Parts: sequence; C-alpha cells; structure tokens
Amino acid sequence: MLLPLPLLFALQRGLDFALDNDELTRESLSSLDGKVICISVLQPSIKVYLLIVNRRIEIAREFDADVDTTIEGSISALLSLQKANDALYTKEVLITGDSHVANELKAIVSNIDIDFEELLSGLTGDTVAHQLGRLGRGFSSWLSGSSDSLQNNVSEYLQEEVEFLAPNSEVDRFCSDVDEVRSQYDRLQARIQLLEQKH
Amino acid sequence: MNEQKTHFGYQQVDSADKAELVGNVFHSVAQKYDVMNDLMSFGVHRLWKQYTIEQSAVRAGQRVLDLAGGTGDLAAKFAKRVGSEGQVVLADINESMLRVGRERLTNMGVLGNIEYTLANAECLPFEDDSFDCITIAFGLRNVTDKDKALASMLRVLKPGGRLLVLEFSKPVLPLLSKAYDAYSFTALPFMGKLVANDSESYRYLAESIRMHPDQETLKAMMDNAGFFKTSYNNFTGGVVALHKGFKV
Repeated sequence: MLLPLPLLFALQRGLDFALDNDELTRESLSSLDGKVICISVLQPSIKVYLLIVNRRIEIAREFDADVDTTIEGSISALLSLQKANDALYTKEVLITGDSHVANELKAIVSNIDIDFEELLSGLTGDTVAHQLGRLGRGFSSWLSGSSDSLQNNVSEYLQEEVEFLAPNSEVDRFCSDVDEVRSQYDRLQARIQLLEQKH
Repeated sequence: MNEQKTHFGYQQVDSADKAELVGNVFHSVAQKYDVMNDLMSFGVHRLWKQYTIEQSAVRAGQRVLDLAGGTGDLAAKFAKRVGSEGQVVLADINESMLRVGRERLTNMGVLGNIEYTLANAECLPFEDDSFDCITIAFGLRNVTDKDKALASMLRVLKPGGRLLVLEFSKPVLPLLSKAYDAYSFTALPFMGKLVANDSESYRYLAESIRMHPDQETLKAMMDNAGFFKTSYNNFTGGVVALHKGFKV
C-alpha cells in the first residue's frame, strides 16, 4: 500500500520544519549522507524510503532501485527502537543490508530532542512561548502521573477485586511449580530408562 | 506522411519548419507557462510530476538530464535529491523557456548543482553514457523526429539508467475522452486568450495532444529505440501517461 500523498506532504513538511530547527540532528545526519533507507511497516503494509541528502531527509513512497538498508517491523516495534533494542533481539524488527546505517539512524532518532518552546517562541514571542511551555510540561506530567495511577488501579481491580488475573507473585510461584514438576518428570523418566536397561 | 512533412497540431508542415513553429508557440507562452499549467490542469500537473520524481529512483550523487525542462519544476526537485555531489542539466530547445526556467530556479535558490543547456532532443550535445536518469515532461510531442530523439536519449543514458517520458496520452474511458475533447478544444483556447492573450498556442496544445502516439504506440517506439523493461502508468484516466524504460 502506498502512503497517501497528503500524508506524505504533511510528513515531509513536519520533518523539514523539525530539521530546520535542530542543527544538532542535521549535523549527525551528515554521516548518512547519500544513503537510502527503506522503512517497511507491517500491518498495514506500507513502505517509505528515507533519502538522506546534504543533511536533510527526503521521504519517498517508491524507490525501485537498490537501497542501503531496510528496517522492517510493526509500527509499535519500530517505535520501541527509540528507547531500547529489545525488538531486534526478539526479531520483531528485522534489519537487512548495511546494519551500520540502521544503527546510525537509530542513534540519531533516539537523540532527537525537539525544543518546542524554542520553536513556538518564533511565532509567539518568548514570554507566551514560556507560559505555553510550562503549561505543556505540567499537562505532560499530569498525563504521565494519571497514566501510572490508572494502570495501578486497573491492575489492582483485576487482581484483587474481581480476581480475574493472578498477582505476579502467584504467577511466578505457579511457573516455578511447573518447572519443578517437569524436572521430577525428567528424573523419573531417566530412572525408568535405567531400570529397563538393567533388566 | 512523406519524409519531408510532419504534423504541427492538425496541420501538415515541412519537417524543417516544425521546430521553429513550436519555438514560436513557447516564446509566446513562456512568461505565463506556470500559471497556465496550474489553470489548465487544476493543479494536478504537480501530482503527475511528483509521481515522475518517485519513479525516477534518483539518489544523491547522480546525474540527471531534464529535457524540455521548461520552467524547471522537475529540475528543482532533482537538484534537491542529487545533492551537492550530483548534477542536474536542465535542457530545452526554446531559449525563452530556458531563460524563464533559469531565472525561476535562481530565485528559488537552486544553484551550484544545476546547468542549463539549449539543446535539441534529436541530437543531444552530451557524451555517451553520461546520465543516470533522463526525464522529458510534456515535451516529446513537440519533437519533430521522436524516434531520433529516443535514440539520442538512449545514447547519453548510462547502462542501467532510466528514461521517464511524462506526456499527454489517450484517455482510457470513452466518457472521459469526450469530456476531455470538449474541454481541450473550447476551454483551453479560451483560457489561453484570457491569461496569455494567445488562443492559437493553446489550440496547438490541444491538437498536438491528439496527434501524439497513444500509450502502446509510444511504448513500442521506446522498445524499437532499444530501451528494455519498458512500461507505462496512466494518470487521471489516461489523460497523461508516464512511460519508463531502461538502458541495458
């Protein structure tokens, strides 16, 4: 499936705007100059190509020639790479081609830290941008706290109130009991084989 | 049609005169070319060109020839893609179009990796095997000897390089075809008169589109010229088609 053109134009505009205001990221992109990276998203199956030229990124929907690297995975697995490499070890994300290029890109994306307050100050002036920034940070902190609290409450309700899910400690105990039964079974089987060989 | 005659819209003219006649058309419309393109196509020509760029698979460091490049829509995008290590040559047979294109791109800040060449597509003034990609957008139908032009393009393409021909073609739906005819022969000359004060040039545009080879014929012409893996995509129901071919 091809990315719809309006979405492509919007993504390109957003990326251009972000890079215009992020000298550090532009600098780090120079190590990837000339590379073509295919990002292949599964479910829905969409490919986009990142062409890195003169410390800028051009997004393309098609590129029927050789690419340097392909990074393939679900949206959530690809996004998780920004924080950790787990998806690579579990093979939720596959990298083909030049893995060095993929690592460089991952490092650059992980280090992107857009200063929205600075971007906003160009439009509204420093004072308003600072107030909006404070408001934004407060909201973000409230959202994060509320999210943690909601997660704890839901987990407690499901485990304690309706007893729909077992607590972690019980699950761990159950798993270790299963392991113990399996070990006993293996030992018993080995002993039976030994007895059979003797007789 | 004998060897000495060719078509200029619906008229039969001497082959030797066609380039000059086409030249006069474009001298006349050069200043209003971009506005007219937007008006005539309702802005859709930008999407057709976007698709062309996507099909080019051009990357940093490559050399691109934008033939009949006119006011430089494609050249500007290619210049961005090939970067400082690559090069774009904007070529046009018409001096007025080339001048307008050069001024426009310079004003847009497209500099350094772009060159301008007054060139006839039938005898390109470039070395063999010198371009990774050649595009000719809405230009091939104005060329007098299309076979000769295709052969010339093949010569200057690098092995593995690709030619992209974006051109008006034949609508695939009968109803669309009728509406398109009515639009081209009434609205286009009217718009031409209103905006560029030149209805004749836009009548020529409509006529030249009808005289241009259809999708399959152009594909066969590219095959005969020596291109391989030729294919085409119809846009807007076949009003425009993008032909693609590679050099072995």
